[in-house]
Amino acid sequence: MTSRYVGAVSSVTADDVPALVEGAKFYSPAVGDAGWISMVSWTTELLRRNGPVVLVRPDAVAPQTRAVGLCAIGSGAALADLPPAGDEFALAVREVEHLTRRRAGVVYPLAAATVSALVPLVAAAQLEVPLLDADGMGRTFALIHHTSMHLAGLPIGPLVARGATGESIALSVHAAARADTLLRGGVDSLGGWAALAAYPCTAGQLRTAALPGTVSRLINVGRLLLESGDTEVLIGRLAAVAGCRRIGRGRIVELEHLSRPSDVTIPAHPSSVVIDEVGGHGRLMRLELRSEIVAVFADGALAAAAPDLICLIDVLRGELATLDSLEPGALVDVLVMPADAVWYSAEGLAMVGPASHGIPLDHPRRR
Amino acid sequence: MTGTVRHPPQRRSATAPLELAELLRVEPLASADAVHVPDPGRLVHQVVLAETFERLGRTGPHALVVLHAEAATGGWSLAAGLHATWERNAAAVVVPRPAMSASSVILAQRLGIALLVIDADPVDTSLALAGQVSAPQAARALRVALCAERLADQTSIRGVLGVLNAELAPAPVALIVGRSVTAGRAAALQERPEHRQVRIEVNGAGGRPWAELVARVPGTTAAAAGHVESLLGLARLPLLAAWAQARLQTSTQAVQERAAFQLLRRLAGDPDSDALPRSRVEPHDVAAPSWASDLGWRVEGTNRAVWIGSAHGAETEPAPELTELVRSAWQRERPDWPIIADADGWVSWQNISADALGSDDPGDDIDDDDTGGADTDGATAMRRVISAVGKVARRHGLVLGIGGAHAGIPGLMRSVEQARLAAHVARDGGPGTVQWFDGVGARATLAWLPRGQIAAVAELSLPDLVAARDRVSLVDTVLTVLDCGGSLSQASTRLGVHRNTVLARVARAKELGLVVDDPNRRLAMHVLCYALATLWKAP
Amino acid sequence: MPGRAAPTALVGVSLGPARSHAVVIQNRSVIRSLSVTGPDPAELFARIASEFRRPVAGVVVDIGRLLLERILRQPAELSAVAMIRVVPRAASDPALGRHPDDVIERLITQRFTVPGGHDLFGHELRRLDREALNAVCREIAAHPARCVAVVAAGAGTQPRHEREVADAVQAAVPAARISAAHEFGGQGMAAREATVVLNAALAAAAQDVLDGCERAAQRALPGVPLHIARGDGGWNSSSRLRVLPVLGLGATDALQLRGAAEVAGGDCRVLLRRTPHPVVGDVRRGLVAVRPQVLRDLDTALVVPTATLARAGPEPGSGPAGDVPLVVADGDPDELACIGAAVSRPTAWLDEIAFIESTARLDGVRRDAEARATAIATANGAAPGTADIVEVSTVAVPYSPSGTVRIRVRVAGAPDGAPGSSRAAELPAVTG
Repeated sequence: MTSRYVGAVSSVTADDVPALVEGAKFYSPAVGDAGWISMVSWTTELLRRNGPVVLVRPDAVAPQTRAVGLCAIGSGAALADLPPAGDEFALAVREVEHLTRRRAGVVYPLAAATVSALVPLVAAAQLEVPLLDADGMGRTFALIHHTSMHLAGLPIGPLVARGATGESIALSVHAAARADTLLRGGVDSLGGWAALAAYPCTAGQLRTAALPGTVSRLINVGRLLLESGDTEVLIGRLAAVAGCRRIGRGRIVELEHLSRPSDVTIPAHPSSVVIDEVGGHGRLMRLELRSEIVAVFADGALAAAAPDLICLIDVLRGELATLDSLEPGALVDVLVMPADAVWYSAEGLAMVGPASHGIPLDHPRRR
Repeated sequence: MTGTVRHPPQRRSATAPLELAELLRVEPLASADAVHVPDPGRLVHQVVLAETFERLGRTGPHALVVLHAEAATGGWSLAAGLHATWERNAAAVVVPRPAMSASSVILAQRLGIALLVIDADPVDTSLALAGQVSAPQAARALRVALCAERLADQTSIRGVLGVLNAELAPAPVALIVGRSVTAGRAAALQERPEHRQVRIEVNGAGGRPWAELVARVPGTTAAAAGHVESLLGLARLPLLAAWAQARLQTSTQAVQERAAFQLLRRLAGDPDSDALPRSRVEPHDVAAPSWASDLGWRVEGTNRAVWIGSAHGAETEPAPELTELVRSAWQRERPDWPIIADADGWVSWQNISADALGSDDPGDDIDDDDTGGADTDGATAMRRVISAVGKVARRHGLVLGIGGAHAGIPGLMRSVEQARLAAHVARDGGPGTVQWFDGVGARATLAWLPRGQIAAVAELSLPDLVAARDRVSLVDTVLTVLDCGGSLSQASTRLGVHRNTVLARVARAKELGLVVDDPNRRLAMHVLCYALATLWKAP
Repeated sequence: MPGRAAPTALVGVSLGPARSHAVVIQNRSVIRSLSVTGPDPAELFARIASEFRRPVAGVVVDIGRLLLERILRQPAELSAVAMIRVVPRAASDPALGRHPDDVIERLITQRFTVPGGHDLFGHELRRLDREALNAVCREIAAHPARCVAVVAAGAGTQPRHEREVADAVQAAVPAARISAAHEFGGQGMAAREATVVLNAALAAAAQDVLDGCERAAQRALPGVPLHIARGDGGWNSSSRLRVLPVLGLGATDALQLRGAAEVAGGDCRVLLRRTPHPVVGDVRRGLVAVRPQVLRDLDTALVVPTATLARAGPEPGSGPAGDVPLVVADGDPDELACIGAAVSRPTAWLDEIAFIESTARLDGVRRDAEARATAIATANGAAPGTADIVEVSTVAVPYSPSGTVRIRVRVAGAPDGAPGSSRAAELPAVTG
């Protein structure tokens, strides 16, 4: 198989879905596969049925084109158990259009990772609009205002969450941070997940407010992941493409739950994974987990932390180890990859840095 | 081997920083769970209550860091806290129990940083600790007071040394009487680089030096050496009390020691004992029982026994008064050597290993009469003792036998038997005679002859000889002739009389029944003459 | 073993469409190995009985290949399945109304959606629509399909709707064989649906195979307990497999790994020579490493655990994780599967979502799950009191309310003939 690099203007076909899925998993390595099955086959079939979706960079469309951000909010496990009926995403966009009284010319991923990377593709296919090759996170963060749009001062609302139950919630808020708070209970009542349409704005605004190229990147990284079964080769290639490096390899020796007090604002309780490094310095590595791996301590020294993207590779299987599949005794590689530069600014770190997960230490990349 | 440099007792500043070990002995840290303490001697210069990691980052070296609030949220926080304090060379980390986890223990061990877990409130704990660290003399005074209480509870020398060793750990403490370690840890006397010895004399009744307490203190904690000194000083009175109590009832003690010695003998599998088979126990098979050191007995290593017995060959136990006399005389010379009544005499022994340790001291002038310097087998020390007690022995009609040097408790028992044998031989030399077993050889056999009974036999079988007035010279002459293998000229030379005199006496003896030229009777005659000669020679 | 004339003999059997194999194991060594053409166990069992005239402690039969053959090559011979989904509303897009994998979807002849369902925590999302349920029951009764699969959203935590639907269908169609997804636990509607559809579809086929096995065993080895191998490398009683035949899928892979490890002498990583790529799997503490995942042969995800097989790199021996010995399974794969079957143990698996408020509560939740898994193992045929918890994992569920954990428990009992397995002692000697 040869890699076809996806350029700035292109389209996404049904054949690109497997690579997109692999890339989307890689940029949010915590979430298990279960939720993907229905979404992937649905997306593939939609693209076959409705034809390829145009993938376009924000600067390649007219600046006044209206754009709506899309993602799946809530738990992947809930989405797996209660798959979408099929109209949630398109209807969420329609409801935002109704609230803003403007028709959306393009849709874009609020977070180009996890199933949230497929969601705007589905909506674009259903609504027959192009998909912007840009997103608001470059990965996933826990809260919906952890976006580059929010950092750029764009309003989060009006926003709409639509559940598989057929119900929807429309919100308008004064402060972006309120949106998550208000939405959280509603999403739980909708079955644990919902289709979210938010950040209605123009393509011109997104030229500076969104992180460009993050959708095509998923497809390119995904192709690498699909081609390689060998961990060493894989890590080498990912280092070249995504700036990823290995912190260490070791065996999981301990899983601790509720290992520190949790606050109510961020979903998923804190837990820890202790890894005994095999070879190297024989360090004791401690991974702090929330919905993602938010920090790695090597012998107590902070080696990597959010917004770095930290993931585990199951060495036996040569693939990502999702957080719900970790077992004591498993041999894993700890990989770290830098997030978009915007997240290492003072504002970015304040929002998504280690302190936002209750780890008030200087970020290793800022020291 | 280099000699010990005796440090003059230093008056250390009372405000010298506390060691971690000192803090661990008083509340609030006394009840902390010391999960990992790699170096109890770490100095603590300050106490830091770290509520934030920012505060942790400003911690200076040698701090005792109490984690609290944000810095003690559990999970990663302790790992990060341990690392931060390790980077800043802190003395120890104190953490509230909820923030503790199993993996943190491993990390503390990896980083080599002390980790203490508390159940008490960290703020209260750090306040109390800050008070202690800022006023070390107060903390020490508290510790000294607690230690004094524990010392006062002790009724035995061993107990006192136990408290001192526990209190001053890892520094070893020993009690030295004379030159030997009577109690505590002999390691206190060993030289170590970066260590110094703290010595405190313990004076007995009348202000005479009785013993010395020695502690070996790591050099890095020189500041605390003065504190060690005051603790050792505190132990003086309890030690003397324990000692006095032990010696209060000499007769009780004599009985006790006697029983204890029998027990020791049985342990060694001595043939006297029927508790163990008669097979010889290998020298190192028997471990020294703990009560031996309670009695002040040193039995490990090589020992050499001394037997003190009556020159007149009393077959019965010596009178208690005599025992008392021997004891006091002995203890004047060597208070560290035991003296125990045993059967028809007294036994004592020199623990050569302990003596050798003590004689490292260059101030100890060694009589190098025959050892050429090093008194490796303790013979020199033994000679010095013997010559000192010789006068007493003469006055009280006693003889001394000295056994060989042998290892372990079985060796000691062997040496005791040898000494006893030698003492029997020494009787031939009259009161004050000292006989070394090494110089006895086969002649020892003769010492065991039942001379009284042989004499009784002679009275019946040779009545004329026994009745003769010149019987002593006759028997002496015949014995000498037999000793010289029948040579009259040799016998005359040895006796200092003319050959004809010898011939005449032999002829007269023959008339009285002492026939020396009959090969069938020669052995009997030889034994008889020996018995009568030694018996009649005695005053 | 004291008091026994000879060490316990164990029989492992692997039935295949073209060739079937059996081994007799005694003292950890193979003392008989024989194969016959075709899937019929009768000849195989008769030959074991005539060639090996000593007491046998137990027989474990792998029927995984036979079940697979029916699904892949004779789907028409499987039972037609009526599928009932219980979700808040029917899919608006046909792609979401069907199962993502054709291998599953083609087993389904009728599909229904009954409004209802719960969330992962057991909160009702929509009341069960009884009117719709009645209509579905009438439809099923009017059609020849007698095998019904039911899957409801949230039934892993709250099976009320699944049970109510199953009861209603049973009442309307008394002859129906009903499989409900909550019996398997696990995560994800697609995997739960695939598992329950396969279970329903295999009902008649499994009955055929198991009848054959039981008859053959009864004739040749009367009184010897008969067990059926599971996809996780363990075994269940034959009666249990009749009800839950899907558990027998994938057993051959797991048993080959286990058999290769047995031959190699202990825990290891086993390389199986497969086309197009060799694959590796782990055997740890005498058990095959498993998880609920995509079953390789069907390319569909199941909620029941099967052996974890990873594609081997070009040089698997020099690869990572060099602390585990790598063993290349060079022997006859059928014989390895039989060896694995003979030494296998009764097992059980539990995979649930729980909600905890504190670490103390977590311990309680874990204990409950362990107790339930142990009970399942006993129901599966493990001698009471011999079942051990061999693996427990509890992990936080990402992007879910704080305190949501997924808990998985694996239990294994004593193998046949082991001390503590009460049956072994009662075995009559094979006479003649």
